[in-house]
Amino acid sequence: MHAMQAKLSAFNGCGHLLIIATFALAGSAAHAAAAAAKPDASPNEDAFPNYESYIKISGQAAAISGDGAAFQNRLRQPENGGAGIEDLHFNKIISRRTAVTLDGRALTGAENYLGHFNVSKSEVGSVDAGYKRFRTFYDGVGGFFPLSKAWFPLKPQDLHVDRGQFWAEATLALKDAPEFKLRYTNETRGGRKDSTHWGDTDFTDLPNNNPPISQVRKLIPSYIQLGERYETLEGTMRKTFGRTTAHLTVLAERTHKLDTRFVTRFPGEVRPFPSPAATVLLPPAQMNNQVQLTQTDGMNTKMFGIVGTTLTELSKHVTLRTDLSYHLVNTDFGGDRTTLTSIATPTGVVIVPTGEFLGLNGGSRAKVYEGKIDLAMTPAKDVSVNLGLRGEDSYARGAGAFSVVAASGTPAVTLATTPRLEASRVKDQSLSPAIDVRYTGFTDLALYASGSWRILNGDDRTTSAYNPITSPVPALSNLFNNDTSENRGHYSVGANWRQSMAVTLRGELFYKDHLNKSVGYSTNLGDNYALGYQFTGIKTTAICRPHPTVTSTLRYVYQLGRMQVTGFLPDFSRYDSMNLKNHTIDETIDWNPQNGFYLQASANVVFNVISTVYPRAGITPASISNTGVANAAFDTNKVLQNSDNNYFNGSMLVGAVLTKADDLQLQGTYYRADNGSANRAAFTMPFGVVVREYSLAAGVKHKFASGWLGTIKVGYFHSQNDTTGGFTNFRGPLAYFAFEHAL
Amino acid sequence: MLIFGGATVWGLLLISCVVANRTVLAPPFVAGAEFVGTKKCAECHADKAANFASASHNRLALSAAGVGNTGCEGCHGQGSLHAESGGARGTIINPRRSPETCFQCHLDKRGQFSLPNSHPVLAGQVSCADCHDVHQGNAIRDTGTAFVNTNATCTRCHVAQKGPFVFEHAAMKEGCTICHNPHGTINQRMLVARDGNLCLRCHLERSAPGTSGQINANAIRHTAENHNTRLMQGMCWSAGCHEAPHGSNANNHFRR
Repeated sequence: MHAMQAKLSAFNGCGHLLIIATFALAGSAAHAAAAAAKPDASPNEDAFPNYESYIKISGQAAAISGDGAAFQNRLRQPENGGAGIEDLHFNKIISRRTAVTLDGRALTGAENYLGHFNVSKSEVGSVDAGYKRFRTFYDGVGGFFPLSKAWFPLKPQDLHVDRGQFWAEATLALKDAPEFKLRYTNETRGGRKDSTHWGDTDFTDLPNNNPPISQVRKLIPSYIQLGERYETLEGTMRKTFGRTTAHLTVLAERTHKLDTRFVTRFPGEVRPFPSPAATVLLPPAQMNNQVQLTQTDGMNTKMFGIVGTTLTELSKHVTLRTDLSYHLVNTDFGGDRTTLTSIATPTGVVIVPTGEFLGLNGGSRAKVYEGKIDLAMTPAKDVSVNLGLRGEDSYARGAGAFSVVAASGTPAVTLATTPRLEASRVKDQSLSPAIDVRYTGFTDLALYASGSWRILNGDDRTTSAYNPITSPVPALSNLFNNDTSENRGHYSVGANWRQSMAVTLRGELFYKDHLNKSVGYSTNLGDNYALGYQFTGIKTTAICRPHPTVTSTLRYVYQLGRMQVTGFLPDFSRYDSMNLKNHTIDETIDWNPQNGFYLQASANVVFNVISTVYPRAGITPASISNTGVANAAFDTNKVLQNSDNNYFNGSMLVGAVLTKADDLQLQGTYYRADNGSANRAAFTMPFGVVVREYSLAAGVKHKFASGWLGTIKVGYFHSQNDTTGGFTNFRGPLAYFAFEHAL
Repeated sequence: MLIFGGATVWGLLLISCVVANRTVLAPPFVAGAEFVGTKKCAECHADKAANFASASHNRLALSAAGVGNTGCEGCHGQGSLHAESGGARGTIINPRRSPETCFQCHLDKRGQFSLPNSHPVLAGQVSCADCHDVHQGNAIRDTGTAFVNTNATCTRCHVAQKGPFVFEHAAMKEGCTICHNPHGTINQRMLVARDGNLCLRCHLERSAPGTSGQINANAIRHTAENHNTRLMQGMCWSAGCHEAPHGSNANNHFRR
């Protein structure tokens, strides 16, 4: 019987291929309904086989019309399809104590690869090594502006990032001897992905001479080139002394990052020479100057750390755990931010190369000491108490130097280079106590309560970039000395009540309270700022089984959040800066009327709104002028509205036995978000997400012979995205096949 | 459509009851297996069972749990076949290979992972257990007295955001989740808000002494500059604005 289950699970998931990516979207993957007991001890003589060693070959294809990049991003699959080894597993018992395992995967198109080798011998140890890699696709979208129907596709369109990891681990675990483990990992992240640092455009059909309404909107897509590596080497020893088990870990990490971001601002625009007055109505192509911006950020870090842990069973009812650690991080960083600005001159348009920072060169050093003690107690049969205290002392300092190349003159084509210096130093000390109490004295009822706190005091000093030639010592306006503090509390109480075999109820109340302060001191301007916030809410779950074949799981989460800001202490009192309300309602129904059939339906409904003070900001006085033109009073409330994040997800899954050799599965999904705000485009950048999607799929799994299984699945996906003005819509059929063979 | 769909379902129901003698169940249940209890699991998986008393999930454990309702089998499925076979492949649920076990109770996370902007958990490229410790301690690793730094869960993969930077954004002390929902949101980059509201939650305050004191964009933190225009144009982190929200090595206002 278990074999059938395993195969159905694979059938539902189909590894990493189209089936999960496409047909499991919006929660359509097979899922269980509840923790209540299921009809499991059922006849299963015709079950599909469950191979200990096997190879699974699969392929997929799609015939998508519309935006292929959006399809790849949404479905996490290549538009052009792919094929290969979806899953390879080989397991062999070499001897009574030794086993070898091989795993593999090689999917072209999705560029999803795995090679994994493990050999283990009981009471001796193991060797484990492998490499895995997968690809993430990006669509490169920017913003859509409904007034002018402006939409700018990103070039290049082929955006993807490959993540890879190589690892090798050796464990020596001889009987009655300390256990040693050595592990090396090398993780890489490379490729090209889109960025949300969208550039500007004036092609909005809005006039340039109507302040305070700006005609500029930032919706030009941009991208970033990634080249990152992260290596770790970790050695661990574990030894048991009497009632104490101790771990000692020594680790070293090395990271290398060289990322470059490419942004275009005001593409296709050049302001005429001489520059017209601000009151003159200009065509969009003359409102601003095109700027090609390239920023390179490089960073190399080396980290050394040592961690010691002990776990001691002081008595049958008391366990003590202690942790100590030390980490040292050294960093070198560098980079450039160059801008190529198109500027009109009396003799024509010239490209003026400037740099907001060039030749950035610096480093930082951070040290962190941590200690923790945990006491787990069971003072009575049904009571357990955990007490914990964690302390941390951290120190970090950094400094850098770079050059600024700025243009001046009329037109601004005369370049001048000036140096800059900068520095910072941060010291923090924190204590984090915690308590967790559980009571199980009532039959079928578990009660718990927990609280944790964090008290932090720190001293931050920063020196913002200054010119050491014109100002040999930084001016007061460059210095920020701040006493910082944090007071945080997290609390929760909850219960799990199995009212009967048919009804289980769970609930939890939670509350978070943070207050962070930053207060300037000494002779500088410093900072004067306090931020408080409180989040409170409830999570409830009801698992009901009204009939032996039906299980319903209903979950409701309510969260209320508030933030308060106090600025320029102590002159002003604090006031609310944010309100958050969230209702999440989730339901899953599972129906198993007989052994050869199941139906599952699920839905998620979310009402989420984040509101800052801004939508209630009121009228901005008429005195403001930013272009030389007298501004009228302006209704600020129009600029920014609440951030609504509502959506609905629904899915249905049906599984059935068709014949002794065939299983059928049907799936359907639906996703909708309707938070449109396009009608406010004249005053803001409308970001409201408006999307409708659905998918349908049908698949059959067939047993050809005892050692051969096959799966075929076809489906259809439809995505309509009004957030992007429909420019990223796509739809079309998809197909998937797989053959699995026992080895 | 409904009639057709209903007829299809009922047709399948009729077919499935007569053609074969096998059980199909929706994951994460193990067909044909029965509960054996946590003690049985601990016979082989002592390392996992040893510290489970400290695990967040153990808070739900009932004194009379008996069968797997809230023990190991609550997540891994019924274990009798697994135990009898000595751990044969396919006889137990491995939540690292499928999130369905977690979705049994965390139904809301299923919805979030289904969103266009989410970690690829449904695609099998990331598992819940990559970020959450389920066998010991806090399920959310960097909370309470957990022995890892805030954000360590995220920066293990997102190295570029780890720093240290010369100028750290204080929001990073609150944690990545103050701006991102790692399970997924409807907004790009899994942001909890799509526009300037994201930043204004913290960066909107009464203006400096001597100014109007009005609570609006003129009062965006520590600037006398009118930010009405900026907010009208786009997001706070758009090009030319505050492009380095995680921290900067070149500008204390995170401009670049």
